[in-house]
Amino acid sequence: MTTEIFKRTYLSLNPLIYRVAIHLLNDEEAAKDTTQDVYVKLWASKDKLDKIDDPKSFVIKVTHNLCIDRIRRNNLRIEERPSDMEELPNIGIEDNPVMNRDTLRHVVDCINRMPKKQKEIMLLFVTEALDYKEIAKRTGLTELNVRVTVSRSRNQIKKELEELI
Amino acid sequence: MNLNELEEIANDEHKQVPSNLEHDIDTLINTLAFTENLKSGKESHKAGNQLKWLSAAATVVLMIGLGWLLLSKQSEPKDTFNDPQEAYAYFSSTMNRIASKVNDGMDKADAALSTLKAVLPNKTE
Repeated sequence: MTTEIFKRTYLSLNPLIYRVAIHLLNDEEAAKDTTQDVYVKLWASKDKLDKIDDPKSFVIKVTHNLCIDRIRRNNLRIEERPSDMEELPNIGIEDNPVMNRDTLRHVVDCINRMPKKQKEIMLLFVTEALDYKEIAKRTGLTELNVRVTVSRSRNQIKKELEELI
Repeated sequence: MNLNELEEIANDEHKQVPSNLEHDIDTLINTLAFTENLKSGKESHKAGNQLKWLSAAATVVLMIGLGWLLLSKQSEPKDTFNDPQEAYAYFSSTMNRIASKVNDGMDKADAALSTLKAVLPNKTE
């Protein structure tokens, strides 16, 4: 599944995920965090998501399971999972040891430590997914300059990640 | 709580959702895509392909260059004499010089054969 299809299918479901999470966790920050966790988990299995007939029900189930995990981790009381709560379809949606929130944090930390201009370029490239031309327009730099900066920064981030993992 | 109840909660539009949540998730997905590309080395793979194409193009240019060089060297030899008489005289003197060398060689070979015959009469006959 490409990024475009992934976004088209799952991005608009974020309010549903959040509402379930806030209902179960009763904590705004935890609900936001869980919503992000759901997307990281979905992304890790995005090649298998084509098999999902009903993405809406699927994300609700994933959200429910992640909320239960979070509550258990925090040793909070919750009534036992009801028996009529369907299990997730077996599509191998499991935690990815490499593509997880920690890896993303390292990437963002690395960008935040960059000099001002380089950081500005990389934030536009990574988080906004803008192309070289658009970044050049917004920053007032030449396209070649942006391209070189992105290439150098990519190598820098890659190297830091390799040292960590 | 069953799935139907959860779906009801999920679809309840009276429940407020943070206004920046969609943007945050969009940012998260973009960062996931970037990190995945970084790990799978998609960009460097692209660069690798470009390098392969450049190498192939350089090889073709080199082959054409070498071919052209070889063909140009194999062109018709130019005349070194304008006067046919002079050319014939040079040719004759060259052939005579070769003939005298060959004759010298033949004489030496005959002498060697005679010596061998004298030393090893049975084996050389």
